[in-house]
Amino acid sequence: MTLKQRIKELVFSNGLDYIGIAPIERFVNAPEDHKPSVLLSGARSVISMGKRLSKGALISHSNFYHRKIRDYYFTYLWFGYGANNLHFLDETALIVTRLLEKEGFIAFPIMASGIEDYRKAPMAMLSHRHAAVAAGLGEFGWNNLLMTPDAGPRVRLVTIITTAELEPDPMYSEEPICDKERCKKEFGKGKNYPCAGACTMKVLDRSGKRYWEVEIGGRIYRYAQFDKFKSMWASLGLCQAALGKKEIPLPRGKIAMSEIIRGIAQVDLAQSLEMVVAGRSNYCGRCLNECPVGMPKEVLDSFGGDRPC
Amino acid sequence: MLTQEIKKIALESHLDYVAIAPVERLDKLPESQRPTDILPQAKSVISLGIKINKGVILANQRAYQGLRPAIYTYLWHGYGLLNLHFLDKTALKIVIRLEKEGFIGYPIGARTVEDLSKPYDFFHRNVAIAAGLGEIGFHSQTLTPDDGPRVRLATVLTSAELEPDPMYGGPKLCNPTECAEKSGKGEPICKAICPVHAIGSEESVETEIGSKKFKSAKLDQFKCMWGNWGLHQDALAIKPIPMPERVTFNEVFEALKKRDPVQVVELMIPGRGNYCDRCIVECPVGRAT
Repeated sequence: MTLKQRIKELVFSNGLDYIGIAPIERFVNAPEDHKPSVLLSGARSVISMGKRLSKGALISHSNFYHRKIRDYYFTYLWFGYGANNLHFLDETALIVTRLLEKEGFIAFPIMASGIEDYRKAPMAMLSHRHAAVAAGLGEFGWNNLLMTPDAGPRVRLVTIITTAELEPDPMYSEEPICDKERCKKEFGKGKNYPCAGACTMKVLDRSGKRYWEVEIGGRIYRYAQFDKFKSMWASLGLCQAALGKKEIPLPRGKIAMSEIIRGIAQVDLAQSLEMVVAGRSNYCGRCLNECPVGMPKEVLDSFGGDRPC
Repeated sequence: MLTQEIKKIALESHLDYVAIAPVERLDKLPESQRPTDILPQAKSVISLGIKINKGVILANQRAYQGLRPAIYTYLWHGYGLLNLHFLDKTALKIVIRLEKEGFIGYPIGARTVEDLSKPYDFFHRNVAIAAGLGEIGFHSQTLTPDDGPRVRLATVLTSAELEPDPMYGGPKLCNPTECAEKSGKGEPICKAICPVHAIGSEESVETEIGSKKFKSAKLDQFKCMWGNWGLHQDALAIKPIPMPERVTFNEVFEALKKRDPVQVVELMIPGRGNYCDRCIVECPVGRAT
């Protein structure tokens, strides 16, 4: 059995659903401080691993956003975020790291829920989404997220950089997974892209004209521009539209980490206690949960026929 | 046999170290630090350990070379994840197994400092030494022959009389004089690299475990906390808090309140990590280094 096969076996036996390998060359266009080779000298491959969100966790999300039931939202905070990231993805990443080290290689795991750099925008040391696209798990959606052919964006991710030269997986090259104009017509009543229409903070571009462009492995991807700090305002539940128990006034104009910190300091006490167990989670995630691609029927049924836009 | 079953549980749970000591080996420790002070029925102590991986050690080094965000991998994969998810989970599995056999298993959390206002008691370290994992280094940490001090530890006290392991009897692992010569700085690497100058100059502390005496330097544990909480300018503080000449827990507590809030957010997931650990990261001991 090759090392790659052994890694795959470990990943699936630990409850994960996706794994792909990208050679380091596919990251040539990453920002300098976020290149795998800058983080780990001698890096040869990047391993991307993912776990699909369960239907029950997704229904918990829909219960609040479509039926206004907040009480059992903790199921999404934990089983839709924390438990997947901390207990499945990070643990498996460490187990794979140990295997690679046993085989004489160095492995540098990147935390699943980590945002390690808040200077210009909240950013991970190495983008799990970009790594996943480079490793063939799918492509970018207009919502900025990894879109897999089967579960759409409903996947949590973790990444390992390693000096091992593993056989790379091909990049995704089938039919486009996110066809935003078709999606607008079919699911957005011709007015909005469902992800942008559902965006709590209304920060995801709705015009289809303001996008970021990135080249990975010779392929060009375009996805909506958005204000990442304002998006963080909702993901931390600082407004009532994103399950905040208290509406914290969003400062006017451009915001940065200092405003987020001031917002966190004003969070309702009961809400801040919710995070004592979960550590950090996502009170929003509407761009992920409302995306029609890979939407399980059972979750759609829980919408009660109500579409976000 | 129960001893073998416990060891199997630990190794199957991805730990690297599991060893057992009879409680008598820890009799000479100060009151409240002996296993029988915590669990009067204790007969054995089980020491559990997991090494910090090389890529994770490199993350600490990259952070100190200027790529600060890399410390996240160390905070989590070098501390929180190892302690909470691997060591503590395994300790609980062992406790469940012991209880099934009619014994008491009393786990001590891997990252626990029971009372932050008191100096550390090195409980896990002392148990590890008693169980034969290695010896005490100049920097006061556990030194193992394979991984040096780059091992996280947890402990289970039990009323079961398990088969003990011998104490470490190999060559001396830490030679401060030789280390000082190699460092070229006239002092051992751990002392020279400590950003908060918490490590003393001489081996002035003696700890007796299992009739063996181990020597280490005096460690100013509150200064050490100034580093491991990332409060010091040379320990990755975003907003350095000036460290007073004499530090007690009150100063540490006040400094924690003055931290840059981004550092508070950084610890939302790891709970507690270690921004420093320079003494164990750069320690040359360990065959696997």
